[in-house]
Amino acid sequence: MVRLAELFSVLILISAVLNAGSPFIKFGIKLYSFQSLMLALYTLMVALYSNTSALYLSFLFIILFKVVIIPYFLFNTLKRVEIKREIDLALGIPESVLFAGSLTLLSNIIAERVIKTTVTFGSLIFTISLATFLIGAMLMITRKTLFSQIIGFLTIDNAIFLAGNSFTHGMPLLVEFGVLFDLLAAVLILSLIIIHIKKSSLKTGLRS
Amino acid sequence: MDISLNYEKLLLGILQFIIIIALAPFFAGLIHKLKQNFRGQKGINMFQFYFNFGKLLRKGVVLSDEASYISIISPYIILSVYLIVLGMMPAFYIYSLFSRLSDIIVIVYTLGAGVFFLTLYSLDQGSPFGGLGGEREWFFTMLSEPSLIFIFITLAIYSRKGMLVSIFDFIQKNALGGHFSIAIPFILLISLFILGLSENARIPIDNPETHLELTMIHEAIILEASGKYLGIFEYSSYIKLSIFLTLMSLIIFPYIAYTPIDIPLALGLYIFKMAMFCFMISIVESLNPKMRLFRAPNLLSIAFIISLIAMILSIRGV
Repeated sequence: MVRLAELFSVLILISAVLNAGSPFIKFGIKLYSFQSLMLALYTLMVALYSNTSALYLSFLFIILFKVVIIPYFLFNTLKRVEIKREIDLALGIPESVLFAGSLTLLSNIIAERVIKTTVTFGSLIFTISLATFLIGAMLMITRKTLFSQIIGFLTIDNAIFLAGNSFTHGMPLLVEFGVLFDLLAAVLILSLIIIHIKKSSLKTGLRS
Repeated sequence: MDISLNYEKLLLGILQFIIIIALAPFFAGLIHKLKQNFRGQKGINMFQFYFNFGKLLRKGVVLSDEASYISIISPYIILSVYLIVLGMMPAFYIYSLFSRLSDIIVIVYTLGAGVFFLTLYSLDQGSPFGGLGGEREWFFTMLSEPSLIFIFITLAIYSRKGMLVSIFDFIQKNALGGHFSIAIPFILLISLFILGLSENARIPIDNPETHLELTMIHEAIILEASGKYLGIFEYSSYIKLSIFLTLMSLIIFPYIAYTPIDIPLALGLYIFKMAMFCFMISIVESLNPKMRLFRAPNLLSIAFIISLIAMILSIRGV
């Protein structure tokens, strides 16, 4: 069970790295869905490990919201604005992948210094969540279309969920629901903004 | 692990060596056949590449007037380099023929020596395409070699051993008892799969079937080769494919025989695993278009970072 949890958490990090390595937006949304599925399975492992009943509910809600509903909205928006890929990147693809790798190394060094107490599945989880957090922030900074920035934001959220679940055996259920609904509302509003930018073709520096 | 040899181990090692070499064109032919079936074609005979090799061996060699002794020796050097590396692999019997030689650094740089002589050959005969092919080959090797080193170093750090044979011995003993990480082999497999596609000139990077000037990398190098030398080059490319597939099959699910009684089961599993990987490669090749040359660094940098993550995991001692 511990081995499986490690596999799922590593796959979260790898899907974030792959996201940094592809300019295609459809693939990015699919990867986000996959990442959330891995997060859900990780939560299931924590639930089985620590026998917390609230975490099973959290597992179901992650699958419902993050794996199904949010990617569905994003795909719908993508269909209406008809863009396929990031056009000019602030940082090229190989550079940003290498940057993601160095962020992983950096977070490994930080995690070794910071974490002395035991976390649910070892201090490796802290490394992975910190690295995923930083890669999400990098996506938000270096990408120019709003879609990739949303995906970066959602990646950061997944990283925080991962850290929360491994440090605390699950946050209170009410907090998790609040976060999930906030996320859903944020994605809805951002999709509206994307469509609006596309329609009014404002020169805001952002692209839809 | 004790790697001193006696006559029985040596004999079985030679047997294993011969079996793997003899099987190498079969797997290349299997990939070709599966790809053709995906396209809806009837497909070649699976043993076609053996016939091709036999035909090419009987033909004479034509060398250009510019050719020096490099053109004469380098086919044999390349073939022997890949044979040595394949001989180190404990494919289904643990005491492989060159098991005492199988240091991880030796493997990586022996493969590098093969690429060195391949590109020397491409430059030697003065063909305009040869230089182009050699240049592209170095471009990809330069990008993929660090990941290969990282993959081997990951395995070495995790198992605290330096020889390939002892590493897989360690993995097998611990995997059966459930003391081995799942995450490390899994992500090493992803990285190694991308590297295998790139090093063996498979479709997302290079197309092994065409002679189109824009796309050819491996074919441009051996464009001048003819007759016996062409046969040797083709056979060494099958052996290189076999090396990568064997590494993948060893990492994903090691089942290596220690005694002669276990050998039939291990051999059957080995062929089954290799056929599974051939199937995967043929699916990837059928579903993907060939990449632009300058998009290949994207894929290879991802492979590099994935093996870096695996190395971090192994240092933390998951």
